[in-house]
Amino acid sequence: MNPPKAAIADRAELLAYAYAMENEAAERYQDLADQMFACNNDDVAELFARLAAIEAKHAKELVEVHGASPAPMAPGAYRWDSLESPENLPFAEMHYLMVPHQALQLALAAERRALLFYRDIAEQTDSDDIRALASEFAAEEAEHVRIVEEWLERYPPADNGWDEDMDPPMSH
Amino acid sequence: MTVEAACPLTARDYKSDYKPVWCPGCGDFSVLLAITKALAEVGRPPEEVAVVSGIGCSSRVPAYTNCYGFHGVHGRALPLATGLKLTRPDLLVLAAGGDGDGYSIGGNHFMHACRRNVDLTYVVMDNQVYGMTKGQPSPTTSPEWDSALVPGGTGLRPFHPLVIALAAGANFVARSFSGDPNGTAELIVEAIRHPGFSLIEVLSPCVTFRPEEREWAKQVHPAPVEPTDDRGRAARRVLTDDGFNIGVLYRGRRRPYQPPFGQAQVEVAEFEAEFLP
Repeated sequence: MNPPKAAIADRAELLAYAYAMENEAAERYQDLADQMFACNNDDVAELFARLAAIEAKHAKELVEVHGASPAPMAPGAYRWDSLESPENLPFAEMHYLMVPHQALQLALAAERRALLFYRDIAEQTDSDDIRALASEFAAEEAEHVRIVEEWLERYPPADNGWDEDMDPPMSH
Repeated sequence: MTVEAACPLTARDYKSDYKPVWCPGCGDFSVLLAITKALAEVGRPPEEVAVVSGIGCSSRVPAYTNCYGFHGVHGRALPLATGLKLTRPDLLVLAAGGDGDGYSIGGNHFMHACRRNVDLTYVVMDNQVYGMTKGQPSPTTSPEWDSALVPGGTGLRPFHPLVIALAAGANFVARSFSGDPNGTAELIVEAIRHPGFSLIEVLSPCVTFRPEEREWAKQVHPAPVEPTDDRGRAARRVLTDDGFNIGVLYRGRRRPYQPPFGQAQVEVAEFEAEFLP
């Protein structure tokens, strides 16, 4: 769940969360790209690979510009508002026949969750330092939301029957 | 929570360069992530960890980790893991597989691995179907599951692995859900640290042959009671719950099996010499 007000104790802790979010998102997008390449869904795979590169760049910036530690905390130490980091696309949402528009809708939802995560922290904290940093990250996520919305307009929505497979694994 | 609690190793250190070929949407991707996160938190380097499996979709896990691995014969993950742990007690031994592999052809080994209580951890990715071989019912499939291969369902009561494990003597029993990789990782960490045989049943949807299992995400919930060290109580709870209680269900106090004192230790070089001309 979202870190409660008292949970983000200082700048280092906010950076730890931010780094985890960006790094996990980068790794997740790359995993999803690999999945789609394995299924010969190259359009979606390339999209996920591009998103992975963007998230990896942000993770790197967190280390180089803000001084975040790249060492992760224990899995149970993070308190997210969902089962995973808000910027992760759930593995379970994938389908081997999905189209780029669907992939981008999932990415948009993830970026919006990340935006809300930082906004919540900025609104809840008593620390000016944490508020300033969280607001900066929220502004970056808002920019990501705008970019993904722009990309979405380039791809048509899925047709009816997008998941029909002429050679399915098993006929029911 | 403090940032000082950081792990020096990361999940990525335990991933191999081989890309999983599971179907997109499969729960096993999350379980693989959970295993690598757990190993990072435990902090044993990959060369001190062995991942052993049998056959099936989820049994591909050893190839996807950077640890020592043994992709064994169908249903034989646990005898392999047991033998390895007894021979190399210094290794962290993790067995992984699915419900078909572990509870059907490997069912007898499963019971006796629980009984022997060797210090190893068994992660079962239960999707209630044989996915690799096109969707046959497995021992945990519900009797009414209707499919082209079994019209009208099997009509058979499903195997209840957690109760069997408790009755047979497993020392740690937990249930998890693949959609919660961090929670699954925490349970795996605890299972590894708990002495003796630990079973983690991970509800891991097969989105290809059991697409309705995507709904598990809405059905799972934390176990409403604290773990017990009473096997009978744990078994009653597991028998009467809805099958979606997540968390540690039983923490036993049995001492792990140790080979009898005085048994001659065979050096690896001596053993290898038997196979050399």
